[in-house]
Amino acid sequence: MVWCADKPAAPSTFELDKAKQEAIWLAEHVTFKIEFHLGKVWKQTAKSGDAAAFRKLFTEDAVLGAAAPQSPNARSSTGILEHRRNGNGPTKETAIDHVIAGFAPFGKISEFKTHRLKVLQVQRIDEANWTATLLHDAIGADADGKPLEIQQIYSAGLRFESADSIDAKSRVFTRLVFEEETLRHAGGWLFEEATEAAGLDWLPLPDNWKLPARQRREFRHQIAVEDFDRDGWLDLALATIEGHRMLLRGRPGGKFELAGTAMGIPSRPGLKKVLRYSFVAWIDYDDDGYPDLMMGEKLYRNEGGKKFVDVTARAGIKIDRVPMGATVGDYDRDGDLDLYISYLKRFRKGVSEFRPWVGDVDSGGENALWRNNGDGSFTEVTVESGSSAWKRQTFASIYFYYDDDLHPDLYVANDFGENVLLRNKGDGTFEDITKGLGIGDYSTSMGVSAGDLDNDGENELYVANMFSKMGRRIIGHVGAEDYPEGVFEQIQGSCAGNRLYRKSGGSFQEQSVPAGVNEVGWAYAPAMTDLNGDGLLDLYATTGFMSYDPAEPDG
Amino acid sequence: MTQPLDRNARHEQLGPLDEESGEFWVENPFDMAQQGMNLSSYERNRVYLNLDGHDFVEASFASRADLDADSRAVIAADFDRDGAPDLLVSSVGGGPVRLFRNTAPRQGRFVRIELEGTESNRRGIGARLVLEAGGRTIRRDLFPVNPGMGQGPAELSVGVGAVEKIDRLTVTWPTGKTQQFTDLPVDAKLVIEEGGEQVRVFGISPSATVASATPDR
Repeated sequence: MVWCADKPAAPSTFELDKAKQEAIWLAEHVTFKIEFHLGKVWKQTAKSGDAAAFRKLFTEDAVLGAAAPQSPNARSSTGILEHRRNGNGPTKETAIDHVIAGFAPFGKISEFKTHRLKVLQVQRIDEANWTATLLHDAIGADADGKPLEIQQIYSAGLRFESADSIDAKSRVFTRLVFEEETLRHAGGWLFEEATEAAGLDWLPLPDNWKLPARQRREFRHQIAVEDFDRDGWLDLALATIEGHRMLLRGRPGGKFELAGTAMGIPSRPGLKKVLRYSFVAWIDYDDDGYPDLMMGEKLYRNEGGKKFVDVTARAGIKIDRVPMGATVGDYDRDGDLDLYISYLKRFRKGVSEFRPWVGDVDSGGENALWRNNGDGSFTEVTVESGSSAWKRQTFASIYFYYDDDLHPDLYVANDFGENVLLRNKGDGTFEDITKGLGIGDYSTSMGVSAGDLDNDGENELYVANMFSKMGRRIIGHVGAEDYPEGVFEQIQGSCAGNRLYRKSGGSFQEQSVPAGVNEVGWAYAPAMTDLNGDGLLDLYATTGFMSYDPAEPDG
Repeated sequence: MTQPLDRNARHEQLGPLDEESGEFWVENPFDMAQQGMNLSSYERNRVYLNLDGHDFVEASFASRADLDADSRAVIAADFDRDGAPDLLVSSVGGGPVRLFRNTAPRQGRFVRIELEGTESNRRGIGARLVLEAGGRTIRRDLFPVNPGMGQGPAELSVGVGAVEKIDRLTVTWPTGKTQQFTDLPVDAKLVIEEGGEQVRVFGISPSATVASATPDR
């Protein structure tokens, strides 16, 4: 039997050619050697200006290339100035001193927050010769305490008999050419941490960095902000997988006070960890202007901002599986707020079936849409509304206007599987129109934001994706020809970085790289907000998977 | 990378490791977190300032909000009620909830807008706001956004550039009905009632009282 397959069935297993695997292994091994052994000398030279040890890393006939003068053109915003310069190209006559002169900006940093030599790419040319692209960067403050950031890119040639001969004293560089530099300095800081002043530093919540490794979690709590008592100050609701439930009232002056238990929301932390306990959202379901609260599996009605009453049984909303977040809006435009829930199904280790890293579209959980009946109860309408977004691992969903018909559309961000754009047809149903729009974002997504970044009247999408520094290096060693059809796209998708889909003239174009917003890291939720009041939405992007020990290497 | 079709696959070590430089090997990436090994660790949250609608300049280094604590959610909202959005960041390490107050040099003015639906839902969720100011048109849609593990409030802090007033504000409610107002102040909180004749204008901070009201057109 044939079900209109429009592309060949993907093979269920595939293993890359062994020789390629070994070549990748060696390249990664060399990467570690360069970053650690040569990086030590390199960074020391940049800090001290003393070139004695650095000179010893070069062969007698090394080709060198120094930096060109800084371009007078700078980009600036909000007190930040960004200067760029390129290199002068390779020349044998250039002395190592000229190369080291390029390190001069690092001398302006009196206090280093970070300072790294990273291998962006390394390729073997023949038995003993390699090329590499190196990133030398640092963040810190100058002597006046002003923020400073330097990023330099070098192209390098290296010669060594075996990877084991790379150490801090080996003459391995046959070439080192300055390619480009970005130098940023700022007149001041954009934010001031107010955690302590707001009374948020003492919250008795589990923190990965204070827990033994086995108790650390990839995600633990959700947060939701509203002015629930309508006093003009924003309040915070928070729930954890351990069962902590916190309602923090914003007080004049910016301090938060714990208000939950007295208002009818008791916190019941226990040893058992249940992911659905962390579900939290504000939804003014009775339309009285006082936002009501979903917390864990319960719905609480807000009684005039003074107390909360458990109305879960009457409302009839069932929370099961792993709810990653609530998307609140009036999808049927009947005047009351409905609830869309993003569901994840945890990946279970040891499951015998094969699951790809990207393109897995049927191992997750369907999302759920609960229609507000307007009488205090909800009805699940996922199936009849066509809003499940299929069996995918959904991390986040947002309402936004894809078109201008004022029927809120849904964009659903999925881990492992393609994202889904559900167009609201205006008759209580949605249709999946992802295909053909180029916004399926074939990758592993963890968050999404929408907004009109260029003020042209159409909404852009900024999607947070998984990223891997190692993945980006490795991808330089393989190509589509190394895999069955369609598989290389999966490889690319697994280290995609954040993507920016710009909408113009009705169609989307992916522009994260030219816009400079791609390489965030292993990213989660992004926000679009105008930070400086210039009328343009800026971006803030969260990132970082699991940090255990800053002294240990990163994977 | 080597067995892309199977995220359960185990990959054998293919050569020696340089333990001095911290090189290590794990047969399946899911094992890393379980074994307490760093994976995409200590990555700094990013701030990108929009230069012209197309290009961004990275400002993380000067933000003090570039925490490296495995952050998950962020809520951008005006917590201190000074007009500019602040950042509330939740993380699984390094402090579960941290607040960063916006101290950036302002490049323009802000208004905070709240809606009161009567026929539409009470909070006006789903309304479209079009602000015309200084020869520019800025469109914002009101949704309590949840970009991941954190939901923001049903209010909007809108930057309008270096202008003295908003020339025109058009609200399109979820019902499809529109209202238009002219000559509205900046550095203010504007409350718009569906079908109401006036915009209620407040000081940007809740401690201020009603400043004025602007008639509907």
